[in-house]
Amino acid sequence: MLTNPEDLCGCGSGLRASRCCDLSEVDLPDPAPEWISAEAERAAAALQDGDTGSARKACGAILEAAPGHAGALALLAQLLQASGKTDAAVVLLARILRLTPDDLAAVQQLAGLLLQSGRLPEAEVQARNAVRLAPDNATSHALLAMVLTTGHCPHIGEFHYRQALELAEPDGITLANLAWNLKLQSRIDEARALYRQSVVLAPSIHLTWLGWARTEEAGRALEDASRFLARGKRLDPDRPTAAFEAALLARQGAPEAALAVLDAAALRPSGPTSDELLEKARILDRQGRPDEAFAAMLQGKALIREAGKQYAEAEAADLTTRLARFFIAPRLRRLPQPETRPLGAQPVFIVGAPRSGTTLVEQILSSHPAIAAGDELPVLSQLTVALPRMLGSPLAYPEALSELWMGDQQDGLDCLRDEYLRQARKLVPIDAGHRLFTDKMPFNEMHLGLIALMFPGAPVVHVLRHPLDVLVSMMSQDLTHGFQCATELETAARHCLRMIELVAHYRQQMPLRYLPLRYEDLVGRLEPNVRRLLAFLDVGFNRRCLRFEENRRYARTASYAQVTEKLHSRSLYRYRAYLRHLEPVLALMEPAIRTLGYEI
Amino acid sequence: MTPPPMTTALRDLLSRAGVALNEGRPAGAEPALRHAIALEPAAAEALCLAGLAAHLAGRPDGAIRWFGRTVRLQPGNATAHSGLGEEFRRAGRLDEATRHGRLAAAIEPGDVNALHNLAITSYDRLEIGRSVACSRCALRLAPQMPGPHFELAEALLLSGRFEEGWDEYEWRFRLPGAPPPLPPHLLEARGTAPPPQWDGRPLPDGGRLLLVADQGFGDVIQFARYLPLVEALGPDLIVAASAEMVPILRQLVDEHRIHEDWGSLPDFQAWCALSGLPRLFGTTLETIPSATPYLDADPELAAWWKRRLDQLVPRRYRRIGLVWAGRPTHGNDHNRSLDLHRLAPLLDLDEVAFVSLQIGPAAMEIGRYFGRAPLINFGPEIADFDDTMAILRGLERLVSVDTAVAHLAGAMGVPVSLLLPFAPDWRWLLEQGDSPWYPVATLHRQTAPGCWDEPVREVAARLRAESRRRGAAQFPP
Repeated sequence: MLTNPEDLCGCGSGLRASRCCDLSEVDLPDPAPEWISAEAERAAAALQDGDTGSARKACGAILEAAPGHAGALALLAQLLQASGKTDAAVVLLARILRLTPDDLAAVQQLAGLLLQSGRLPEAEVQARNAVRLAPDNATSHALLAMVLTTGHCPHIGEFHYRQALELAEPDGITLANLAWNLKLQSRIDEARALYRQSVVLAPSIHLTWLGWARTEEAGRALEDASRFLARGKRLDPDRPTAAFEAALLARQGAPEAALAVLDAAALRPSGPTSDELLEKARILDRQGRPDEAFAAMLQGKALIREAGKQYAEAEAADLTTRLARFFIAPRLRRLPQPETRPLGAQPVFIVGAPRSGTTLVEQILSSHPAIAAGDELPVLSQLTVALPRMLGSPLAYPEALSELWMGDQQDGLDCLRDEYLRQARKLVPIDAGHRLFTDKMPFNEMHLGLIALMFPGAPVVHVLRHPLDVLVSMMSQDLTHGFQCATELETAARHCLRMIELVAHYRQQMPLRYLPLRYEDLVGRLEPNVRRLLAFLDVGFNRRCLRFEENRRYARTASYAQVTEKLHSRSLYRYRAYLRHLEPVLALMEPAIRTLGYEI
Repeated sequence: MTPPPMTTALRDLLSRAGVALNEGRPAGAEPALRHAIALEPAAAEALCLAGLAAHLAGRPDGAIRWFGRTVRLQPGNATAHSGLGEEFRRAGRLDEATRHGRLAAAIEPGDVNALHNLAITSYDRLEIGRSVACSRCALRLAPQMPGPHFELAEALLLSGRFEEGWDEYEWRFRLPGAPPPLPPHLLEARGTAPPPQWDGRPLPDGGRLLLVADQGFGDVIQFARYLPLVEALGPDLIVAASAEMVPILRQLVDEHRIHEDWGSLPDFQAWCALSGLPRLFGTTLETIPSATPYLDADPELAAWWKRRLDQLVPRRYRRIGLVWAGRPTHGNDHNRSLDLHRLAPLLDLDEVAFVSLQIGPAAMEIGRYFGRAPLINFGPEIADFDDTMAILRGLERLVSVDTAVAHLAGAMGVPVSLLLPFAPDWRWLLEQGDSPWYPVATLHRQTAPGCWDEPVREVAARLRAESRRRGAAQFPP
């Protein structure tokens, strides 16, 4: 059958549009012609024999005649996935599920694909469906576990990994995945023990060794990390591990060797990865080679953008505008206060731009016996999504908060607050002695109004750092915060400005328990500022907070390695070496820099 | 130097500009003046009119430039010197203001405006003797001119010479643009013999006295202390006040006696402005009714705000109220208000939380404040003076510029540190660090015009010393 290329469906399935995305499911021909079952068998056999060309041709023929044939759709999806056409595979799997919603295999495959392509919220929907469809299926639990672990909910992920391990014989991969999950929860020793079990069961999996190596690095056992990395590399020399290897070498005091590893990796036909370029930028920066460092940053960011990530500016601007319009003093005066007292450990919100020192502040605080570290909790932003449903509003956040004026929503803030606490406590390892826990999701200042409504007395620590230092640092990391603003210098600057202005607005419109804390002050005079910080939180001073680098907690964020070092001033005013490169944003940032009390 | 003869064209342009200026339309005068100056750049008369136009249009820099060029060409131009004096005074450049003011008065010894301006400049420089002398000179030339009477009142009251001061102070309602204490129609509606202004003597039996809560909110709070004294004289008292003042006044008179609406006033036999009571009671420095507190917060509201404070202020932190600006439409606001950042030495204290009671546009500065001490913005939640009093009740002290909130704290007996300009309002008197009106007040005065450094440093030092004493008391060595 010859197909005019112009007729082909835009989704990339290789089918004609009229047999693919343009198809209305009610139009499906019924019954299917008789020859189809034989053709389907042939397709399956061809796939098994590795003859993907024949398999694909057979599927095409079947779907031309019977576009709703689930078997052929599933086979074709598998073929597309194998050839890297993920989006097309997703489209076909979703079609199968519209036709046969209970197809467990399709649900699982779809969840896996979505996870692979970083579409986490959709992946979570499918993975949860898989567990609903087959609560005793280990794969369903393992999939949900992976999604949740990737989505900053490792504690719930752990639950599902353990379910998976109970439902089936423990296997090396699930054990390694659980180990990685525990590493993310800073439970390095438990993770290490699981990796040991995993490599006994499956010693030849590259990712297991790499994960173990990363775990040892997080646990500061750099020698072991190098050893396990070498094992992993032997198993699959073609996998790009140069970024990690270089980071490890740099941490071990061998920057030249690290750069050599990165340069060697750059020679591969596909060129360097964005991770490798950004690692190179960080090493060059520390070596005092800003021009080369910035060039690597730009190159790395360009690759990230090529992969489809970019600042969702329209969305960010829209939400910012709506928040500023909603949170105004006369309106807030009419809102109820939470009626009941919250129980248990209470949140401390550490807000600020990524790379401004939020991890450092959390590391200091969580060295205190009364404070648990919550790390980057996704709870607040999840709550803004769930909020309209919880308040029974037809509007989105923040306008949905208007329901709080209704007589039957007078306890609405109590509900929102308790839901926040319920979800947060699932994610934060809170012990009996903990009175407070930290939530340090960067750019959470966006939701300062909601925070103050739910937790009128919750301390908000706003970590400030010279905005140009923040921008240089954001340029040297792959960050998703702030609507992916860090994919480009200009967009990072614009988003930082949006947040600075929004914070000013909140502070003008409502009373807040708000403490601005300068990163530079912490570096310059640690003790008085730690005392000030603790007093602001109503907890007594504790010397352990001054030795935060001994805090064995592993922070999940980009700063994890830095906060295991004593404070140093090398990161202060680093921007000065980059002024030439920052030129495109200087005029834009200057007023905000002065407002924050800094100079250029 | 004799001015060159004027051409007809120039004369026409200047007369057109003069007409517009007389009608108070500086924008209408400016095209003609521009044309005139283009024709004859050295025409002093045109330059002087351009200065006046800029002055009337609210462009002080322009006014100073034009008047300056005028006096360079025509050193004997009294109008230009007088204009320069006034502009420099407003800009706080008091030395230059005095120099030009004196020149104007010397050139035209009969110019009452020049003398009046010089009186004001002298007041601003705290040269009170000279200010009084200038006002008296002006009054000899124009005995019925309200401005010099009022300026004389301020200078006399400031120096504690209340007796003559109160009499002169009665001229305040005759100042150009000053609203009358009673709407004229109210008296006119009461026929050919409208109720007279009260003379302070008891009224005939059943006589009803109307008191008008006039001037600013601070004045009402300050003079509300006279209400019980008036009531003791036995008249059937009613008070006319704006709604904002009701939370204050109802603590001193029954609420049913307070009227927010001129239309609802019953008949009355005499009337008096609240700010006229010190005169009627013959108040002297020694007899100021200084018993405080005479105002207090509603206990339930105070408890609600206390809970709010407990939520927002760390437990160990001291709670200090803060107001740094007054109503921007107040004539003297540029003098009495300051920018938040000027308070930096104060806001650098440890374990002190500042509770902002600031309202109005100045409260926006909080969004740009990043000092060490937490600054809690209660302004958005303050609905009325009931709230303000309830918040003050939960504070250890208020630090404030000369605004109504400072009066409120004083009247409630809440310690208040008052930041005063070099030449303060008359009620804060001269030099002293305390106030006979409010025993709980501590006054911190500018030592040079426009310079807040010293008073702010004083308040910071006081708070720091108190913190040290507390620290010592809490943690004995």
